[in-house]
Amino acid sequence: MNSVTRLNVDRSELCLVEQAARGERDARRELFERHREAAYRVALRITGRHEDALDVVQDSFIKAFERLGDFQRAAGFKTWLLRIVTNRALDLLRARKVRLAVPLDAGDDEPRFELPACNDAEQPGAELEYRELAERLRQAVESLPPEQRAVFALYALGEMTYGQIAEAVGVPIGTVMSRLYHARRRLHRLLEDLAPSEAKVEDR
Amino acid sequence: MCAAIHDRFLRIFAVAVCVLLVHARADGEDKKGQSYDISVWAIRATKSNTQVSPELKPIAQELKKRFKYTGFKLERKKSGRAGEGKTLSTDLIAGFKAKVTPLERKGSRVKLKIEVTKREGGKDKRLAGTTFTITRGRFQLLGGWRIDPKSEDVLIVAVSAR
Amino acid sequence: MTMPDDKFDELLDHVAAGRLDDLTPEQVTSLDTHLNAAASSSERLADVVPEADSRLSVIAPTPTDAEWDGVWQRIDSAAPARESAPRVIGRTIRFWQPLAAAAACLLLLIVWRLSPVQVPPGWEMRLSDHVVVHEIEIFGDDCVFVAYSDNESGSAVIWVFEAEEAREGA
Repeated sequence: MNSVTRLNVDRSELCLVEQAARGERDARRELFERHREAAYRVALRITGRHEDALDVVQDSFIKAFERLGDFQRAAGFKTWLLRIVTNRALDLLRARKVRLAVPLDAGDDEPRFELPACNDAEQPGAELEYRELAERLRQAVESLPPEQRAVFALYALGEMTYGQIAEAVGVPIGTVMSRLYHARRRLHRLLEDLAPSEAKVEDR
Repeated sequence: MCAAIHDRFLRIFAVAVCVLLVHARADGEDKKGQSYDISVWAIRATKSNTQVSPELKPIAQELKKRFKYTGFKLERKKSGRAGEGKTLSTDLIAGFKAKVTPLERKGSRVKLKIEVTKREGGKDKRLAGTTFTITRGRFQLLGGWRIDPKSEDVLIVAVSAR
Repeated sequence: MTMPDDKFDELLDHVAAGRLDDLTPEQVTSLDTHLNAAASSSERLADVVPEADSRLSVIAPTPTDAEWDGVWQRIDSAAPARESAPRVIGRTIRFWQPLAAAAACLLLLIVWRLSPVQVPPGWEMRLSDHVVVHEIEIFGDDCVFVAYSDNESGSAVIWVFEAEEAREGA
C-alpha cells in the first residue's frame, strides 16, 4: 500500500470538498461534473455495460457525498472516489454472477475467448471503425479476471500513477504492476491484429 | 427541543465529570492563574531551494512528505510568558502577527488559542484563528499564507506552550 | 524468490521508464514480491504513470448530457443538499463533541494519574501528537483544512488556502 500522502492536491478542489461536506449543492454539482467522466470510464471498463456503468457512477457519488466526513483530505478526492467506483463496480459484477471462462490467477496468459474478426468490407466509415474497435476492446477487457480488470480500468484513464491506482484498488504497488502487466499482455494478444496506427482514435 | 436539552445535559455531564476528577487529584496538580511559557516561530517554506534551518531539521522530513516545499527557514523565534486567558502578541515577518492566548493546562496537555493577522492599510487584518489542545512543550503548525506576492514562499507559524 | 539488489534496480528502472512490457512473467513475479517486501522501493513507482497504449484506450462515446442530468437528479434526490451558504466575513467551524470531550477528559486524567508530567528542558522543535482542533475561524474567501499525519501519532497541520490561489488552481 502506498504510504506517501503528499499534499499536492488541487487547492480549489479541497475547498469544494469542504463545501460539499457541509452539504452545499453547488459544490457537490461541481465535483460531480469534474469527475463523472473518469468515474464512468472506470465503471464501464469493469462492468462492460453502459447502463450498469451509469448506475455505478450514481451509487458511487451518493456514497461519496454521504461519507465525505470520513475522507482524509490529504489524499486526492478523485483517487478516493475511484476507489468507491471500483468497489461498487466489482460488487455489481459479483451480483450479476458473471461466469468468466478464464481462471482468476494472474499468471495465465493464454486467451480463452475468441473475438469476432473485423470485417474490412463492412466498415463504411471512420465512425463505424471506431465503434468496432471500442467493441473489440470491450470484449477483450471482459475476458480479464476482475482483479486485473479493475487495475486496467484505472490505468486506462491515462493519468493515474501506480501509487494512485494502488490507493484506489487497495493493494500494494507491486501488485498493481503485476496485474497491469498480465492484463496488458492478455489484451495485446487478443488485439494483436490491431497495429498501433489503426487505433489512432482518441477517447471521447 | 429534546435534542437541544439532551445535548446540553451531555455537556454539563462532561464538565461535571472533569471537575470532579480534577478535585479528586491530591498532589502535583496545576493551579489556575499561573503563567504559561509560550514560544512562537515564523517559518518560511520555499520551493526555490532545499536549505533547512538546523532548528527545523527534526520536522523537515515530515514537512517535505506533506507539502511540495523543499526548503524551510526559521525566520524568527519569540518566547514570552502570559497568564491564563491573557494574550501574548508577537510580530512574525512581512507584517504578519500572531496572538497566542493560553486557555487551559491539564497534566501534559495545554489548550491554546492563536490568531494570525496581517498589517494592511495601517490595520491588522484578521486572517485566521484556531483553538486546539496539544502536548505541552510540543509545537502545532498553522500556515499557508503567501509571504510576498512575487514569490511562492509561504508562512508557517509554529506555536507551543507549557 | 530472492533477487540481487542490482538486478532488482535494473528491472525497476525498466518499469519506471515505461518498459513494463519488456519484462518476462518470471521477472514480474520476482519484482512484485520484492516491491511488496520493501515499501521504500515501491515508492519509486508511486509517482510514475504507467506507459500509455493507444490500442487499449479506445472507448465508446460517453453518456449524453440528458443522461448525465438524469444521473445528477437521482444523486441530488438521494443525498439532500442545501443551497450554497451566503458569504460571511468570518466562518466558525466547531469540532467539539460533548461525548468525545467527556471521554477525552477521563482518558487524559487517567493517564495523568498514572504517569508523571515531563516538561521538556528547552524549546526543541517537535510536533505535538494527539492534536485536538476545537475550532477554526477563517475570514474572507480563504479555505482551511486540517491535514493529519498518516501514522498513528495524531500530529496535524492546519493549512489555509488563500482565495486568490484557490481560484488560480481551478
